[in-house]
Amino acid sequence: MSGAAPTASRQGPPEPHELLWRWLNSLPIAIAVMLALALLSALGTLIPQEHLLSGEDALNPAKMYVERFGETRYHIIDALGLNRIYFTWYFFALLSWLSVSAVVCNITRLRNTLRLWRTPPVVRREQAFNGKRGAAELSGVQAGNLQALKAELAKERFRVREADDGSAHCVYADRGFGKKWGLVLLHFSLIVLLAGAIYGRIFGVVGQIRLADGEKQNLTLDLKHGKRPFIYPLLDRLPPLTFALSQDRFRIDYDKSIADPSSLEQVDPELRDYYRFFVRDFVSTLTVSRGGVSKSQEVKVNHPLVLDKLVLYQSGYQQIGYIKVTDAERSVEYPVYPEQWLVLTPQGPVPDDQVTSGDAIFSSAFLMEQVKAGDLYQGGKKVGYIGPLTIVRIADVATGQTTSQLLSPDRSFKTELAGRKVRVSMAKRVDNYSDFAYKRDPGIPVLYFGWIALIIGIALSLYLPFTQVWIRLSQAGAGGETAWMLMQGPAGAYYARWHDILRAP
Amino acid sequence: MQTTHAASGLSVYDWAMFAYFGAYLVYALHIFFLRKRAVGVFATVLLIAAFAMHTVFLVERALFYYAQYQGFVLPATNMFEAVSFFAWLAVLGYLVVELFVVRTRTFAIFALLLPVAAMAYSAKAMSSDPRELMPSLKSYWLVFHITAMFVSYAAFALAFSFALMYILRARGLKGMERIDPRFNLKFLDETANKLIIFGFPLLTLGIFLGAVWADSAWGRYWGWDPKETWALITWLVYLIYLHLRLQWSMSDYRSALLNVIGFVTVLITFQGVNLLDGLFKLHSIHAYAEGGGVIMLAVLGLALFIPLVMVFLPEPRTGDEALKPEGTSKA
Repeated sequence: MSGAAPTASRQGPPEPHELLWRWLNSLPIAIAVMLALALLSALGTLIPQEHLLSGEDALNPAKMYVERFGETRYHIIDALGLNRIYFTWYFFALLSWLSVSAVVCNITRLRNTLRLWRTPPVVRREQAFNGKRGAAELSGVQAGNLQALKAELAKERFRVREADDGSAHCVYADRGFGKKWGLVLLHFSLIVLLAGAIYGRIFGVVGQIRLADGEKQNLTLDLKHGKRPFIYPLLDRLPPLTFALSQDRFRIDYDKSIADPSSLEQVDPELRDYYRFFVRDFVSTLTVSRGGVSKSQEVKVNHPLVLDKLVLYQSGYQQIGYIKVTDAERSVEYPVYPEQWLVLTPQGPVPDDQVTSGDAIFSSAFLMEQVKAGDLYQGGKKVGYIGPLTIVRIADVATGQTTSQLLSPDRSFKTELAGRKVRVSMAKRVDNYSDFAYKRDPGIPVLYFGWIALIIGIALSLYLPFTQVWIRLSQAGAGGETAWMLMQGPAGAYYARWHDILRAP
Repeated sequence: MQTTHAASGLSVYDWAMFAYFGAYLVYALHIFFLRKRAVGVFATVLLIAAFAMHTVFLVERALFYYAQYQGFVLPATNMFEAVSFFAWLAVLGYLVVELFVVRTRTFAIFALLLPVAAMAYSAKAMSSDPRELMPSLKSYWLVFHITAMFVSYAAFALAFSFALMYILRARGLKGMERIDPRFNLKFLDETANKLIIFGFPLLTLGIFLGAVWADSAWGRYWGWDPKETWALITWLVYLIYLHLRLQWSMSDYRSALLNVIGFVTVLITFQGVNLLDGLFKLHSIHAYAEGGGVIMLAVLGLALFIPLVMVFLPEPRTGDEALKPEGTSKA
């Protein structure tokens, strides 16, 4: 980035556009912007950001902020946008400034690079050698030696140019021009990156959808969702996009750990197997159709389905088990969610803090862990089926003692409900739900193009050495001529050898 | 974990760690007291032995994952493995530099400090049990993303140690040149700079590969998650360094200070993000008690703050201006 604005040579105070150009060309301002971006980004990791909240906090962010920071501070945070810092206008303005500044300073760079490429500075006057670091004056140089040096330079893949300026023969050579192009490329790539991201944010759409095993649903993309109203006119002309989704099968595969973590030593040996089972993969067999085109494939993490630029990612699952409560007369199944203390009432299992009737109707409270049910793999091979299986903690209301045991269709526990003895076990029924994240982002190709250009540009500009060599051979002199030689760039190892070539008798 | 246990009950990882410590001590002995060649060679041999044992641990862990998941998984899937893999790469980098690039052992005392400390930290503060892998970790992107990131981290760690040597030397610790006559300001500065120039493109590549992976696993290439954000901050700090250095001829002393700040941001990206996360999730006193989180955070904060203040203080008068390269200004 150079400090001079090309239009600022005129006398008098600069026009506003000249001033803007000069500022966009300014390295100190660019560095201040980078610093501001770094500091704001860091601030965003100290104050919880709305888009990263989960669970209850995500449903009511204001409550969380007030609890954490107090009413007044929350209003300041909210007014300044510090709770969504990466999506504020000032963050965007800083990013835009940096990208545009990179392009503006690159215009000067591109001009200089093109000039150096097309018309390299072959002729270098004697004064320009004198006193320069690394410049050497060599006497008694034979004219033929210059030819040998030119051949040597060409062999070392230098671009060699030569010219006469009347009093001397000048040779110029350079190597590693890719460094210069790399610099140009990387500075342009920043604006491509930003353009790709903006284009994707305007015309793209992201969302979540949940499908039960065997369920069919139509997904209509809402392009306006989560966007500012001033963008709507751009989106109004686009046709609505509807995709038909069919969850043909959803399975959750389990694996059995072949090494026990040390924490398992604390667990009752009877219960250890439950902890050894873990989810290996959750796989949807999904069919997506739109406009007569249909695609069906297995979708799992790292293997999304793509149809008409819509990408569907397997993002999560939920497995809900049922408990079976059996007494002398009947057997009823109830869905249960893990990690919640429940008590049995005549209406079914109820969270213990919501029970209004007295202790007399139940004798124990119980808590279940996540239900595990699915095909079991070992060593990559399917070896059977597990579950439905869970661990239940049973608290005796009278004594307060807690015991843990496995719960499955075959393993049950007994309790009392309103004076009747009942048996609680797992029902065989399990409901599996598959969660998908979906995205249609037309900016991705542009963005990746910009990113790859950035990496190539950075690698070329930092890894490739650029070396320039000037030789000026004066045409006066009897027993040999005088040569000036200057090299700029990291090829020090060659330099002494080139001197020797020129000085050879 | 089914790992090689000797009769003493120590795992191959423990042995590797002891050997690293031993090697570090022998290096220190060699550098400060016993300049006999044999002692130096012994230090290198011990380090290679430690590195070999560490490699055995990594291979064992990869084989374990292969048996469990029937595919290659880079053993860098949790914090313990990540710290260990980082130390392994940093030692590898050191060995390459010692044996093939500078052919001296004299910088070992600085360059090996971080990997050895990382090994101790991983063994002391973290469980070495292999954990179940989230499906998203079973991806080839992991290998490329982590390797690119960690090679850049290792380069920045080495650059940091040279910057530290520079600062100590510039602040008057002349003994540095008695350790090795080459340890003048110019050499230290240029080596640190070369390492940053080597690491920066890899950091850029690593962030990009992470984004591609995130896009294929979660459907987003950038989510402003604290880890991603700190990676960006690290990138910006080194970007500022490169601009100041290459375009503005920043002085070597300030380069060294900025280098230290850059490495602190690397540490926050690598480790500190989890601490920040812990502090904010648990807004109670518990967060302060667990794993020395606040101590680590305070150290990181000071390490970031002190050089930031020093950047604006007058530079030390080193008295050997002749060692300064030409063309550097006192900006």
